[in-house]
Amino acid sequence: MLNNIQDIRESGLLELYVLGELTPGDISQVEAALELYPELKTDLNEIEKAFHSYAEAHAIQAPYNVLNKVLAQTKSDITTDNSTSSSSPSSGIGTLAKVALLVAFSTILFQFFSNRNLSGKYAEDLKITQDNCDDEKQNLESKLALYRELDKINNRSISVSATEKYPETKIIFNTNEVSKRNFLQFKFLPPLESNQSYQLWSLKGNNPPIPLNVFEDISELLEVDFVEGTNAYAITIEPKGGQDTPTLENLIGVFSITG
Amino acid sequence: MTALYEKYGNAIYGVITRIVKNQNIAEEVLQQTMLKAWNKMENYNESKSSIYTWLNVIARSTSMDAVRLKRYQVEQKTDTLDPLVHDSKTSNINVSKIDVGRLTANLEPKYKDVLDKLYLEGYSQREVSDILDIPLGTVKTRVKYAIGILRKELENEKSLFLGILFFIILIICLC
Repeated sequence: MLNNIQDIRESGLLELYVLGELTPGDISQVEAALELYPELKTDLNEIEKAFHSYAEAHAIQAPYNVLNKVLAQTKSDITTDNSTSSSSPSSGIGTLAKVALLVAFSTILFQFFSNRNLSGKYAEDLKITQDNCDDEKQNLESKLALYRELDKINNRSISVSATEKYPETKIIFNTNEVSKRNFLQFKFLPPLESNQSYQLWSLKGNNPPIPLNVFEDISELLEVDFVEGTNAYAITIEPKGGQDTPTLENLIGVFSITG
Repeated sequence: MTALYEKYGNAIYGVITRIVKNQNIAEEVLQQTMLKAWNKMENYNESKSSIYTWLNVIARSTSMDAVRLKRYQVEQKTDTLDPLVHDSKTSNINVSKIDVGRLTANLEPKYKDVLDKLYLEGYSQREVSDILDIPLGTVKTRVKYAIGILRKELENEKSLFLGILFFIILIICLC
């Protein structure tokens, strides 16, 4: 506790106060002492001058580019402050700048929220695309598996015997009596009317033709029914959806199995 | 702002440079100091300190903040103070008013060391005590003594100046 002015002078607190080295408590104590003993202000002034002189003795030329930067910043602050109250052209520019800033900020906010929605939509689209890709992949794998059947050792490929009515017909009939699977590869078929379909028939001994697959799409390898003991398979053009007895005048071709 | 910068800038810059020990950082700190002073001008209370003391406290705290920055540690590896301080070609060092040699002629090194470390290099009392391996109380005592010497030197210079001025006036009056 500093009891008198002499204690304060001898404590060294005034020097440390000028240096900014005191705790908040000590600062309060010194400032209270300065209030109580106004003559201490003379001591304080002399101490400040001593420190200032010491700093001046060790001064280094301050760069003018720093001053320019400070001036630029302070002038910018002044212009901003003045623009809120005056009606001068510079205040109009300031107002315009504020409006532009507001518009820009609003745009950014709008974009932000739009992008948030957009990213949700993108996620949804991506999911759909992924699902489509998965489906396509499965589809292709299924088709690949079919084609691999054609390479199996017991597979027989038989070219169609085209009829005179449809001489350009080219179809490969693949049959595997071990796996009991049949496949049709289409090279050329007579075109269908909109109300027609192709139909496959099994010809077995003296039995009436057995109706098998009805189809229109000939773009891919087609697996068709396998009938044990079939002597020949035939393709006709029938009314759409097929029927139980073949239209013989629309016979496209025959695949002879037994020779 | 220009007047403030021209009156106190060199002294402040000298303190800052010795604390941060890097010219680039010193310039940034000086800029920050002046801007802080500009923004806090309404808080300055002339009854509590001179404007230089007020500026100096801002400069010291800003310098210490810069010292704590990681960049300071990186920069120090590639740049040093010595060429800046000891370069005799560094022009315009404003010492025209104060002759450091005469000012500190009666200041013993042990007092000057404490004053330099505490005031010009930004060390705290505790750090000065550790560096110089002297008790904390001794740090305070030596600072007080060093400032006391400087006060006397300035008083002597003032007296000398007044004496010379009086002599000149006397001569003018007699002629």
